[in-house]
Amino acid sequence: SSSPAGETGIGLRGDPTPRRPGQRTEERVLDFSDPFSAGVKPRIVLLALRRSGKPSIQKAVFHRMSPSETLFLESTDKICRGEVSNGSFVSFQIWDFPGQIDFFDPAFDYEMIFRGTGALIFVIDSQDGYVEALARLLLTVTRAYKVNSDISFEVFIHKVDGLSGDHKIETQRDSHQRANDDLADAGLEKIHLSFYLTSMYDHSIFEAFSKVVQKLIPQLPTLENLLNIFISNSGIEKAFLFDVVSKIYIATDSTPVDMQTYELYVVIDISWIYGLKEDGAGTPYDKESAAIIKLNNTTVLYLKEVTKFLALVCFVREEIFERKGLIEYNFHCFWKAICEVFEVGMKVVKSRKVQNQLQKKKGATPNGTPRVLL
Amino acid sequence: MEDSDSEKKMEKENLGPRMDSPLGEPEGSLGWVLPNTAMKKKVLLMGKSGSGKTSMRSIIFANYIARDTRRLGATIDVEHSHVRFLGNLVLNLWDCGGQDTFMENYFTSQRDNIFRNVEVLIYVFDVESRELEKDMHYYQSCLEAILQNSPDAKIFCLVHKMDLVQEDQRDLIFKEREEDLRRLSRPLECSCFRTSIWDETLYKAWSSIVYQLIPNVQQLEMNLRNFAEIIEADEVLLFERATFLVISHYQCKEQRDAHRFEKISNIIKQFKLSCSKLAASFQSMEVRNSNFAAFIDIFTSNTYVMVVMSDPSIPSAATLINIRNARKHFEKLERVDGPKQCLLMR
Repeated sequence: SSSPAGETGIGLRGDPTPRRPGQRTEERVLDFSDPFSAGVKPRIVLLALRRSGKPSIQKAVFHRMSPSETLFLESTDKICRGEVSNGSFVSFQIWDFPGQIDFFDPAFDYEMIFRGTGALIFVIDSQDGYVEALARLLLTVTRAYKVNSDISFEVFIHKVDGLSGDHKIETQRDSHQRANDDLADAGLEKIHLSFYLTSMYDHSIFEAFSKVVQKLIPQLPTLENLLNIFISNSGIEKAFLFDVVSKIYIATDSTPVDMQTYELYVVIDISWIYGLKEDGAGTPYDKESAAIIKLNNTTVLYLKEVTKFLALVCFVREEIFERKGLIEYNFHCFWKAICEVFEVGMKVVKSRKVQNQLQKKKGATPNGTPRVLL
Repeated sequence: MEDSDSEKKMEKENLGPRMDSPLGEPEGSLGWVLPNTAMKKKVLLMGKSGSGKTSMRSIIFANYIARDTRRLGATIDVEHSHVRFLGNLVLNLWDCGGQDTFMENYFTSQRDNIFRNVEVLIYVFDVESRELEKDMHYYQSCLEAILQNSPDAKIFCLVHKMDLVQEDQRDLIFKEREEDLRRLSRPLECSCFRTSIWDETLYKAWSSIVYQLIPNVQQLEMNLRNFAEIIEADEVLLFERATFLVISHYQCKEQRDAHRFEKISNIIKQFKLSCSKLAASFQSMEVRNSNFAAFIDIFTSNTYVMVVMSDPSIPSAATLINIRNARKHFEKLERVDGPKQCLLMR
């Protein structure tokens, strides 16, 4: 989708690849200069439906991201729009509407937006009451489905930290029921909605994002497999592939995920202070980024850079970590495998683009139908 | 999220024991002889009701995170707590409830009790206060009492809740307040800080306050300098172990970020707290990229150290050994000063 910011040449602070005037957002997402960009980033659009008041979704998504990683384009009483793309494995676009979503607002080119999207997340403020929001949600889902039937629809019932355990479950169950009933009434049973209870304060929002993002990664089974092999051969207890900017993990091994997420901001925060060169050049997270955090419960948290967006985070027992050399060798093998996985992905996308361009040149086939992409 | 009154009360009661060290001194009493190993300094924390005094102290000393402070109720009269700091130093915090009835009391019947033997007065101003004149009136009453009873006390003014001010207005508003306060405080001198519990400015203010109370700080700095030069570090920071306030530092070259000390305090403290929520505590940390390597580790029984190296040719094992060897030396420093500086409280 085209972006007004691209046209005016606004770049992100510290952005190593500033936008050229007129450069479309889509072009930036297909970043072939980086072999690990996975070709096409998973693209997520967040729609926040709130009754009134200040936009709140920014804080939830961009909580703890630095200003140079986020970009807020417009913030009127009507719409608040934001974007995270640079430096992140995932591309997020955020639209925050008070009251109704105005499908006729020129700034909200919903067809363009929905066409290029993998997942549409509706964020409902549980403190606002969800019944009205669900009704508006339905309208949007219907339109989006018409434009792109492959979108996965996700609903975050947000700010549930204020609710008791039973109330939470009841809220989730009730809203799911209502939404499905409404869809059935409209004859749209084939649309599937997933519901998540989220709160900024207990990582449930990042867990929910993880699940949504994982649906959009075709390489996921391979990544999980690689992680399994890596941890079993290294004596590691658990490993995650984290997107450094959004703090969302895109893959983990098959052992159960115990929501014990340690606040890894500490690594990036410290790197911001000491990790840039004297003239301010460089990025806090680079090829040599690594961290070893020793915890008193005899666990070591080991972080290592994998790609410019992704870090491997492992939990290792202290005595196992003494064989650091073995772990590092295995990590190197793992890293080479990840490169290959993403290279394949990139080749597929490249060939698709070439085909696309060829098509445009040739135009329609002699009988008038457009050529079909393989 | 509304807590009932009884819950609020419980929170306050929990606040006490967490911070008290077993000194065996009944609250609010005078005239007790202290054990030889401790030196006691009286710190008054004053300000109008709701200005944020209890929240601040619970974050700095009692391991609250900013969000937890929502549950704190109004402080009733004076809350005493003893905070052990750097092993041999005890901060006797007087958190004086700021409701009008209490304030009136402080300047009349309780005046001598409260304002005698004060080392540090911290006065907290709520930047959003609608009663500026009244705030200033109380502040001046405090200063009068201090002038009479503890003229050598160091005075700190915290302009608090700055997060509620629009970002582009903050510097201007703070500057105005600072000028007013300096003027009003004469002939006494005050140091002003702008603070918020939601960012690192809180740590900057408290670090400066605590720094004034450390008895052997110059010696500490000298030793830190020697250490840094020997191991060829770019920067070395010394933190008090429980609060992670920076109590001493040495840098051998200019660093880019002038606010890094309080930022680091904040960053590490937040991490430490997040670990303790998962029933783990962090012991040491090594963070690196192509431009630096930072080592954070337990140093002495009361301090943590952070060493920043920018020379990539120095292997981390070497730095870790150096830190380990320096520990013994600094432990000795701490022990030596303790017994020599005991204090009889009247």
